[in-house]
Amino acid sequence: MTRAIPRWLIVFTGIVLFLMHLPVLVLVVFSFNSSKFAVDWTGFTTHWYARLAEREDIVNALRNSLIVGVTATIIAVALGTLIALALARHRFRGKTLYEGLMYVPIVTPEIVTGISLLVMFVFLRFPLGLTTIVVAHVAFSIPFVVVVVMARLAGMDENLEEAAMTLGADEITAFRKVTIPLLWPGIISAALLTFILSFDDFVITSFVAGSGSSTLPLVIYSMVRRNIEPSINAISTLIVLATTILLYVAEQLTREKKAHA
Amino acid sequence: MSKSFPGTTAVRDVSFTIERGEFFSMLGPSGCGKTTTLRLIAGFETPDADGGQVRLLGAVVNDKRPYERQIAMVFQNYALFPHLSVERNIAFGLEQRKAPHRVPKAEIADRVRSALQLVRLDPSTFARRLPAQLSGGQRQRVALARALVLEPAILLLDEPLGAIDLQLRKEMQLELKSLNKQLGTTFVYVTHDQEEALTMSDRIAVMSNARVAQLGTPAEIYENPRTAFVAKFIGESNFFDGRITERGAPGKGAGAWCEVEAAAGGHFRVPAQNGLAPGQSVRIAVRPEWLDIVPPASVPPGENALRGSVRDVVYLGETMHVVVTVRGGGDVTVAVRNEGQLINPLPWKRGDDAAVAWRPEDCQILEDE
Amino acid sequence: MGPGTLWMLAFFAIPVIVMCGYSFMPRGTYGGVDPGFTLEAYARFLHPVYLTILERTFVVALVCTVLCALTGYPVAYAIARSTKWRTLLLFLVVLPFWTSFLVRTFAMIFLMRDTGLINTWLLRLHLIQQPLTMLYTPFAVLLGLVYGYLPFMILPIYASLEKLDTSLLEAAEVLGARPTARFLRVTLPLSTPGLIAGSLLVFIPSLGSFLTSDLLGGAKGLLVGNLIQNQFSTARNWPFGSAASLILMTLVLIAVLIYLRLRLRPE
Repeated sequence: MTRAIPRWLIVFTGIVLFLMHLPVLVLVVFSFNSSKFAVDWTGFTTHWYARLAEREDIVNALRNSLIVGVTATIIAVALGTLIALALARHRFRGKTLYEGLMYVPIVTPEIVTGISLLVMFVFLRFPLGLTTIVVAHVAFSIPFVVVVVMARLAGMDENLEEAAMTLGADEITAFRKVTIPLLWPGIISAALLTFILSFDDFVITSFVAGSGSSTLPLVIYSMVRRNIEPSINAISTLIVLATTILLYVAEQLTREKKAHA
Repeated sequence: MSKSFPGTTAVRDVSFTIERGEFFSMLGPSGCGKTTTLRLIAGFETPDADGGQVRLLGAVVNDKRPYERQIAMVFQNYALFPHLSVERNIAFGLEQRKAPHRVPKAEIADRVRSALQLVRLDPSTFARRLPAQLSGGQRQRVALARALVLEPAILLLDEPLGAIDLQLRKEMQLELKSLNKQLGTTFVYVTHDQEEALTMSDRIAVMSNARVAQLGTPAEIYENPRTAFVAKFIGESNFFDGRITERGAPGKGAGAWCEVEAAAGGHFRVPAQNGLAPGQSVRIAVRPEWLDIVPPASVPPGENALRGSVRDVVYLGETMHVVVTVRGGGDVTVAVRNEGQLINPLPWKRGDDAAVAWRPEDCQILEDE
Repeated sequence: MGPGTLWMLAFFAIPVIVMCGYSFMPRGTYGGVDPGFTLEAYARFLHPVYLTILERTFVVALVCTVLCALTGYPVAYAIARSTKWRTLLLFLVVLPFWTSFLVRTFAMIFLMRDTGLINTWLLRLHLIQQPLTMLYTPFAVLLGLVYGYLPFMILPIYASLEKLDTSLLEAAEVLGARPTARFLRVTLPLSTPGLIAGSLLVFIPSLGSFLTSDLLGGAKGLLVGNLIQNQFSTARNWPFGSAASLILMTLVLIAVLIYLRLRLRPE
């Protein structure tokens, strides 16, 4: 684009972007505020962060969130990648329909997904807990992994596996030595994003967690409802930080990676 | 072989034998089935259930996978592994060899180096580079090296020069031809560029609509096209429709002939084909370069001729095209060598009365398609 | 493909079917359902109170989408036109997209409540006498939704604009079109797919939004999402909740179908 962007547009964009980030920035700043109630700045402290470590409910919830996140990510990425490979490589009857149906979970409101899973678990008298949470997270993550991996596959030359086969590699070897290395950054990226989705999920988790288990978002929610204190700011800041880092890494990976010789 | 996909037959009763060491091309427009045929030879597709066999080096290989066949392949878009360097790309095939054919590391390195030299890329400059850092022509050479380092019996090439610019393309055509002779490897080449096929091939299979329209040497294809499609696709042709009025026996120095009455008026004598009888409608083809343009009164004896007037004179550099509108309608293009319009210009201009003439043996009766 | 499909069937399709079943069953005494068949849950929905909620939800989602479109389009345009800063700008848009919705909604609370930052500063600057009630109003819910979903609008529009062939604009210029005309007659129409996609990505979650209205809306701003959630906690009317969910889902699917219609119509 050779022409400069109109001045007003730059200003407008700047304002909008600033406003988009302002609330969270404020949150982060005030997580270091030593005053508990007032929004007055009374001094810098990391007291609220220390308090987080003392609270058993938060520590437990964090641990659960991590367990659920990692487990759900591994399962979802594995299953989703398989589906993506099948969809990208093969023709079969009903394929378009299947692809279309893949998108339905993505547009379904979280409330509906959460409720329907709750209803089903209760119907089957399946106890609610970490397992049901993992199950639910995998269910809403798979379509997402499929979409991301398929996008990556689409950018990949389909002749590459064939070329490997003309050079003497059988299907499995070709897959291992050509497809996987090229797909890998996409898979990792999908994994990181799935983890973020799982870690941050509130609505669906709140329905399928049952009374015994808690994840970080659930704890934060109850903290917000009950009693506002800067600890919430602190844990929020940590979450935002973690998300930013993971996102940055995922972004770096999706860019055309430098290959190894 | 025959091969169908849902909704379409890609290859229909295609059959030929390729000699060892031959440079064999499949030539045709997009969709004619040439790439599918190549993929059948490679093993990426299998013939239909009752659709024939692929035999390589004497053995039927229908159910052998590509990596079990003695082939190597160069793809249209090179298909170089982006995550591997040039030398790792080339070494790939050698590294796949398992015991007892395992190739030791030192030997791999040597052969990679020789392969690069074979395609005229300097190993010290290019070995460590990544495909993304190479130009189109260089990538093509690496793809070639990767295939040839395996010393395959058969090399398949799928329109490898498509994305390369003209000058380089002509160079590479000659290089490929010379590699074929030098290595003795059988080359099976697919292209839609007729000039390319004529330049490089020992024999050409011209394909159209899933079938082989004609199979022969470049000279046979060019000088004796069998169908209107071949006559049009390779080089240029003028076409005349007519009906056979007479069929004559071989005379001294000539083969059997026919008299044809042209739809546009006039009589021609043409070489006869088998099975043609008086009363039949035929189509005749003559190439522009075998036509002469002469003043109406000066038609050489024994030649076929058509009268008309000059419509256009087109400057093409090497040749001049004179377009003549003949009696009975229709345009005929005559190709005349350009002797230099600045020093020895053509005596023809728009509106001149002229006759186009040709020797009977310079035209063909075309088969129905 | 098998295991993944199986999982989706078991944990997505089947639950929806079960929920469907529940919506037709009579309400159980302690929550849950009793066996039987009844349309009582759906009938209940036709009560004006609930229809109002549905209407309110619809309007809120619509307004939110329009606001997002008006705000988001210029931003997407600016990013698509930028060269040096593009990666950074995109990252700045993508980051909120991925940051926990809960955290972001809480950030809004922090700003907007009576003892929140905005009020404190307005009071301090003597611009107002009393704290402004911002929280627990429809305004808060709308603001929260726009803040939440704006990235969802920006990204598809950006994607659409980025693909725009600049030679089209040059051709238009040569034919005599000034900047405004070029925008209205070339850029805007060609970025419509992105606009529609973005609208869908904002409208649908807004329809089903729960968290925003829960935390920012208070008792008065009940949306369908809250209604549904209620049925499964305090109100203990599972069939009704299931029915409401299905109605919501139907609305969503209608929106998607409209989208597909618009997408597939020849330009």
